[in-house]
Amino acid sequence: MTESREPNTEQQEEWQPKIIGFLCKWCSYAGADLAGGSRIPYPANIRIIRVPCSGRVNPLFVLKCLENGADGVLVSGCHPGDCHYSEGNYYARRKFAVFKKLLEYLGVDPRRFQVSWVSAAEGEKWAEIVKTVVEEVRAAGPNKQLSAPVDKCSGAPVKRKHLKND
Amino acid sequence: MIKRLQEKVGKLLREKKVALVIGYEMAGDGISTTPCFIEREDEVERLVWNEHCVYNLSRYLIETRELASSPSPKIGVVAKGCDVKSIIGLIQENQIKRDEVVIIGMECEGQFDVEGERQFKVEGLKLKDKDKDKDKEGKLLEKCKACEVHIPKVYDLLIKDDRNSGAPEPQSPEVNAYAQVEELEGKSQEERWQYWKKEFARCIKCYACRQVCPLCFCPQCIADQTLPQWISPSPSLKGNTTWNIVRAFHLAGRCIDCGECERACPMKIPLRKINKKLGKEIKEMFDYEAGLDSEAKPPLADFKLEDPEEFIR
Repeated sequence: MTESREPNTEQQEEWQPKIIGFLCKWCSYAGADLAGGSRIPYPANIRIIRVPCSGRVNPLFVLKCLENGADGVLVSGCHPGDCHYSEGNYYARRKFAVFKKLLEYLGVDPRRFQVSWVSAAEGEKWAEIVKTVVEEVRAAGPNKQLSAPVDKCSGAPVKRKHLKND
Repeated sequence: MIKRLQEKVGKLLREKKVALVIGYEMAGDGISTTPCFIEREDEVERLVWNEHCVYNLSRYLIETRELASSPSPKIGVVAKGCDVKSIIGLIQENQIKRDEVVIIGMECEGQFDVEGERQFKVEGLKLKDKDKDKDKEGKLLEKCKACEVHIPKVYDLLIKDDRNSGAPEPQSPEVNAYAQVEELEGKSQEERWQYWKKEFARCIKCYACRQVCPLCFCPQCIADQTLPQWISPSPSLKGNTTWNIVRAFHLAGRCIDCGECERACPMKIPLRKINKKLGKEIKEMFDYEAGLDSEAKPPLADFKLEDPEEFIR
């Protein structure tokens, strides 16, 4: 199956949001595992990447996901106080608070970047969060803002065009 | 003021208190200034001081720090109030040591927009004395209008302005430093995106903003990394937005608003508007301002249990 990196505009109803989840290995990843183990259904639109801690997630990862065609990014870690490394999620919290404000200021749809705390016991909560995030990103539509413009024929990045009024 | 600056620098060099002084000299156009490096006492006459000393010379402290770390000699640097903030930032982040730098603080009334001035001269317009003050308001750099540090907070030597014989000016400006940021905040999300999209589309990835930034001192910048390649080097729009967002984010809570990135940008992307926004948010959320205390912990390397988290699910 070949998958076009470009949002399919002709068949709008078939478009499915693609979401990348960065999950902390100690809590959220185990929470997602519990959701799976307990057979709690949740949308398959999320692709999970396991990270040692939510503090490991560099805002650059989020940007790269969006640039490379993801429609949304969800970062999930342990609740404050539960971090395996004691304080990683506290640093993450500050970092993402600032990052979210920055994206908002630049006019990036705030629904495309989300953060959650999910513990290893919260399989239900994980399923709920994925449902909500998928619905929100679906409402936001295909990511045309940050994903790099791609040439329709070759798939290569579009060459710089002369911009008027500049 | 220039005379006293030259005398003091001459004295520092004569007494071997410093090995090198970084200052300003007249540029070839006879209007603007250019950074200069003074190593001998007989060179001090090159040093000047005027309204065109816009450059933040603390950038050179990173490049000259090897020189400073040898036993006795130090580096002297001519610094305005805003430049001293970035020196504080460098000390705070362990890039230089306080005792390796001699800060020659300048009392600064504000700097002019060099390009505006050059145009003025080229067009052959002359200023009348009575218009001078009025004109100054118009040409003053945006950052200087809301300046709070006409006299540097930290210095080893202070060169005072002769024109101010009386008490120093009140340090509280009436100008709203965040006016431009607030204007943009008032717009809708789509309007903001269209604005920045257009601005970022002009970026040519020359990285002048990084080269000129006094606080961009990473030995290898993420923009230069090839494995993984974070920022596309291709001459396309790809990576422009990512680079500009990341550059701004890496300065969150560190930027001291010297405005050098925006000045150096050949495409005139309003980078200060992003830096200012981050400064504003950090002040509101974490009650921290960059460049004031070299002992303070940088805000993103610190946390409080009660930090805001209403955005987290």
